[in-house]
Amino acid sequence: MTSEPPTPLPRPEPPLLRVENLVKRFRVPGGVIEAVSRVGFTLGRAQTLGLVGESGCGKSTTGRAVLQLPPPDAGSVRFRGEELTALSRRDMRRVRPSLQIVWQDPRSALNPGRRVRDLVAEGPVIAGRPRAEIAGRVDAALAEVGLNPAEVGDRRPHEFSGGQCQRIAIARALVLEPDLLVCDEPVASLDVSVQAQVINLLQDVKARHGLSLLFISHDLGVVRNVSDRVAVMYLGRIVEIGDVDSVYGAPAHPYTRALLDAVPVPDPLAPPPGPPLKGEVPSPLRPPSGCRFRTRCPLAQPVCAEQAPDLRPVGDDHQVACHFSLKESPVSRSSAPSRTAVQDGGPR
Amino acid sequence: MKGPLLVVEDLRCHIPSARGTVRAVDGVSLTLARGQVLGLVGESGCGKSTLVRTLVGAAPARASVSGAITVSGASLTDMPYEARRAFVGRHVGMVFQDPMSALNPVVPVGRQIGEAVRHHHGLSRAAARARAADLLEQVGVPDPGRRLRHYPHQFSGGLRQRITIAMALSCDPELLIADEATTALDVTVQRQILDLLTGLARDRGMGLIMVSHDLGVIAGRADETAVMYAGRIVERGPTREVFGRARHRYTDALLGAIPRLDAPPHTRLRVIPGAPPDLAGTAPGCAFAPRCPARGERCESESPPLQGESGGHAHACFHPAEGETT
Repeated sequence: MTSEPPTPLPRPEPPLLRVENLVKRFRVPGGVIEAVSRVGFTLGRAQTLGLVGESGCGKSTTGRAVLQLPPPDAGSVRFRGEELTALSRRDMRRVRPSLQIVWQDPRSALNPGRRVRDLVAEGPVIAGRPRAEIAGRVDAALAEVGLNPAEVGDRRPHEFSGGQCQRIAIARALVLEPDLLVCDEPVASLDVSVQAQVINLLQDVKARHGLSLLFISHDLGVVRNVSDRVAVMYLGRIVEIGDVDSVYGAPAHPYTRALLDAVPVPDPLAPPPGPPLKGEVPSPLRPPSGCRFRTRCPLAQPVCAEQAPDLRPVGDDHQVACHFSLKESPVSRSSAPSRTAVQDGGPR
Repeated sequence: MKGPLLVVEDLRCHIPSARGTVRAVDGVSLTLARGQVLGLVGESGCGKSTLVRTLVGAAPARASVSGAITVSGASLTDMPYEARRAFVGRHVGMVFQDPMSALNPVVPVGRQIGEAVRHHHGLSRAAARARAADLLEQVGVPDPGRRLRHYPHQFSGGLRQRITIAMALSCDPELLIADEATTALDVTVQRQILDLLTGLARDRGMGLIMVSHDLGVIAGRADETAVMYAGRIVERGPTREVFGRARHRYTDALLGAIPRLDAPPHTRLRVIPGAPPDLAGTAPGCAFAPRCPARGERCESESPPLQGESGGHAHACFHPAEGETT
């Protein structure tokens, strides 16, 4: 696998989405959980950023905090240059059509009592789009996701399979012509044969509309397939982020390495992976001091308990938060102005 | 006496429903030797869970079950209910997907683990307790003596699954069935549990049936693989053969639909059109025909039988794939 610097594309415009120091806390019995802890990344236009990690790592909460559903406790979310966290409800409502989400379970995301046509029209109606336009747009959106509007328009969600419901959910998002689509485990509840249909569909609509996707998934294979860049999360933090080939090809964080090793590969002849990780993710109520991964880390040293590692570059568009990264490459070309606390090195 | 551990012949489990009879298991035959790992793979609704439940006599009460099941030479299907229950309890262990619903939340885990041995082997309370501690140690629960007194909610998901495995092992079963045992777990923990299950099967010489929707889980661990579709086994054989030279069009398509770690980003996935069939239907012919790229006339009228090839690799397809190694 290639690991060496991919040719950086010239990208003159600012990123579509820039997230900095995002924090989201929840009060639970027994204390406060910091589900998202100083997370930052950028997402360019027509790009897909995969957000991957195990359950409870904060990936879904991150996606929702970006959409202000609910708003984060701290940090900045800048979308098309606008600071979403500072917007009034009315202004947020104006921006909403451009920020859409596709959920994991399409059945529970669709109102069972409504017809498909009305479900897809809901967004444009709320956004106050001209009535005359809506019907045509709804038909176009349904056609785009591979459903025949004349055939499905008057039916209700229970008449459809899980894969078809997910298509309807995608049509609901597309009809608003969003710039950013957050996909929260969009294929996790689908069977493999149907999952492939939905992944290909998402790739197609992304290409056709120049959409940016924030693709949240626990499935490393799926994330690799759909993403241009990937961020690996562990206990509320991004531990590694970068170009998908660099991160998968030469993981710099021991957690990423272990995660990749743990993926069951559908090939009986695959070489045996490295040693398994010990133990499980600690309780987010009492995260370990310093580096949150240190309790399971094969490389942990005393310094890891004392000091939380910040993201630092290990290559072009490849950053890792580890005191003893697996990939100690000279910092090439990344002398770019590191003036901010942005925990991401999107070279743009 | 060294016959195969498990022999299943033409097993059927038909469940009446408002929509018609659901043919959840429709003529399944398989054998499993001691110390062997059989992977049973298929998508949701293909009948794999109903199959293993029928094996242990836990088919839905309304279902009509036919066929023969033999474990260690004893015919389960000929046994009266109570005898069968006792036999299965002593010889077969089972691990399910969700440990939280398999465990009683208000009983300490030690007592739950010891329950089966007390029932089936008449152990005393103290002996059962010692046995439970020993089992917890075997499945890798740290500090077993103290942990016996803890309740399920005091354990993490991975440890809970280890506890249900200890329960399944308590009567020293010859056959262990793991039904999606790692599906609810994160990948790093899944790997630990899979290592544990296959290690236990090897060390104890048990037969292990691993049921999963995840081809990856099966590929690295099973000696033999059986692929199920619409209540039938459509392909089976040595795991290397089934994955390396898939003959049935469904197996072949399924392997092409998985996003792979070693494929470059944005690789176009092969798509299987449509969705799995409703098992309440009674259409003749091959159940996969409506989604199959290679279907012919015969596929729509006649159900292909499972035909053996050399090396025990069998498939139920009239127009099999070439089976090129990927």
